[in-house]
Amino acid sequence: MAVGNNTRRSYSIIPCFIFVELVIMAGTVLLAYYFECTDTFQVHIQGFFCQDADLMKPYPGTEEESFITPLVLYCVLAATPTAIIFIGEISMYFIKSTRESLIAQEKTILTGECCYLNPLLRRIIRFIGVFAFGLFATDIFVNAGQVVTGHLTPYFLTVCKPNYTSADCRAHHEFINNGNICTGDLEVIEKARRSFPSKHAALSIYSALYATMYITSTIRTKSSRLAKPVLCLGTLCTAFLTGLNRVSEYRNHCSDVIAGFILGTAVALFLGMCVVHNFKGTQGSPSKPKTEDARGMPLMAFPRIESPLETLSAQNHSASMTEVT
Amino acid sequence: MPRRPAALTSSMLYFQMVIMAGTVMLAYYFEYTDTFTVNVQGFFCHDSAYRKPYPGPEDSSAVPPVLLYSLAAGVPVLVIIVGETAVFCLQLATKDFENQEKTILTGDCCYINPLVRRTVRFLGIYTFGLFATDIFVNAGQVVTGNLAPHFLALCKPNYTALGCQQYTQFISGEEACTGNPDLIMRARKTFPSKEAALSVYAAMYLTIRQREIERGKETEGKKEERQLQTCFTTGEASSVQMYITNTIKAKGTRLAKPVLCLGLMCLAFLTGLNRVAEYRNHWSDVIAGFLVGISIAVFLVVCVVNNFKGRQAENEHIHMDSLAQMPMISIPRVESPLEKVTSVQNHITAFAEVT
Repeated sequence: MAVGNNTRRSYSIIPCFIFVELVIMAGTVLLAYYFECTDTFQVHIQGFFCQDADLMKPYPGTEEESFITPLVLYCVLAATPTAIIFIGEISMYFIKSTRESLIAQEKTILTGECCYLNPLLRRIIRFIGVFAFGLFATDIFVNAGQVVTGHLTPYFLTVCKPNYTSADCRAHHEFINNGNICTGDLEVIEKARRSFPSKHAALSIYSALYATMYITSTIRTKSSRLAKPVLCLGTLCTAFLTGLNRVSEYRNHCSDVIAGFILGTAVALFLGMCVVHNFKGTQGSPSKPKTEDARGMPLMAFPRIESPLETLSAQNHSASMTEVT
Repeated sequence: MPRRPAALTSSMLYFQMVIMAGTVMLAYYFEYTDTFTVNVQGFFCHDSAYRKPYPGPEDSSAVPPVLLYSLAAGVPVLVIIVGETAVFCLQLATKDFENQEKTILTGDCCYINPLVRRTVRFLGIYTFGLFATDIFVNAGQVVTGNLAPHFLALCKPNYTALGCQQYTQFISGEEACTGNPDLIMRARKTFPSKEAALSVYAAMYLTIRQREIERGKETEGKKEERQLQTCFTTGEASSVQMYITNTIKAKGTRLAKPVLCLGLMCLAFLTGLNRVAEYRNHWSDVIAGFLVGISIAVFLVVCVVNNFKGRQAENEHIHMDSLAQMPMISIPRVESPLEKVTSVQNHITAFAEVT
């Protein structure tokens, strides 16, 4: 089963995984939980101008009455890239031509005597783990932005129902700084103060872009030239429409949605390009920056001397590989 | 070992010190003196863009300047020093068993230099960039003289005396204001937000620098692989040890690095957003500040790191020259074909045993 030099032995990978990755992941999830479900972080109270037309759109109802309910959105954006990665990796593993290049890219790791982590498992865990991490990171970004800015939603004044007579709002465009003149439902008002990066826009574009990057960089079929673009553009279009829907339902300003798009795009690009390296294998990464070592062995700069014997040995190698498998 | 002539190095050092001192002086003049007078902008009567309430002095902000400056100066210094030391220690640790037969080549005196030099170089460039960002931002603020969102609250213009019946009337001239001149002067300096620029510069510098290091790692990876092959044949124990250090580094950084980078960027962006939320800057100021900070960081890291690589290549040449004088050492590095064959075969047999 073990294939030549693509196997290596590591007793440290599982403890490393548990103690580093899982702890970081748990911290991220915990932070996201605190932002989402508790009121640990108090929202910044923003003032507004009397009769500000930008904030007087009608109230579109609770989030559940929206065209895209949060439950549907979260399920779809978590499940779609996961399913795509699962299907892609498994099919890559079972199609023979891609399997060989996959095994060449990735090492099988022996942990202990019996257990081994094969490339399929490693890649699935890595890609889906990074995806989940990015999802929570985007959520934290968005929530932190919303809490710090405290930007008001377009329907804020409708919900707030300010008591203008008590404030001195007779002069034109008076700025009202204290948030205490609202008379509406406090919970709804609290939600109406969280708008600036649109969460729906950021999460959906992140998930769509991650899936797109996965599809474009891994699936290389020559036969269907249009299948890949259709899949990618379809996902991106759905994400885009999710953002636009927020504006058309008066739940967010246009700037909120644009900021959400930029945020989600940035996180997805960063994770896809710098962390999982365009979904390639980890051929180069398990090494350390040995710039100083260049002094120790300067002859690496010389061209490598190819010898006929070496190629012979390589052939030998492949022969043994066919034997083993 | 033939090094560069000492006079040349010291004069280069001197030259850099002069540039650095000039930058710091210029930043000082911008920050603490009124050598450069701000451009006086006018405003419309009752302009709602400038009628936000005054949020109090800078020190009462959620991100006071002292905190911001100490973080922007302290965090990268800490990260760079810790990172370089960790890399250096790991190199030392792996060096010990990796090059046991090549100890002649590695004089132990040469190892202290790279660490100190790299640290000083990165920190020097970082500090330079910090002051350069400050100068850019201050120059932008002085030249544009854009008004802060709370300007009219401080200026307290006497609308009746100015004859402000229509909303479209434009008022120019400094004497329109009746408030505290110091505060008004400060409220005229907003256009690129300084806080946004500095924080994003610091975060971006660290983020890209890590990426550059990572890329360097990748190119070095090939060498590493080759050494691993030889390690396999020489001794199982040493190779296992090597793998452990490798996997700790590689596996540990899969999520640790993005957490660090994203966390820093998140803090920087929140600093910018906080400026808007507290009515101290407009959106455009913060966005411009982000752009200034990001572009300076990218420019410095990309151009200067390329410079570093050139320098290191130069170092290699120097060492090659020194090696040319003692060519006996270079010979063992040429891998003989026979060695290859035995290594591969050994290898295969070892794995046949394992499975």
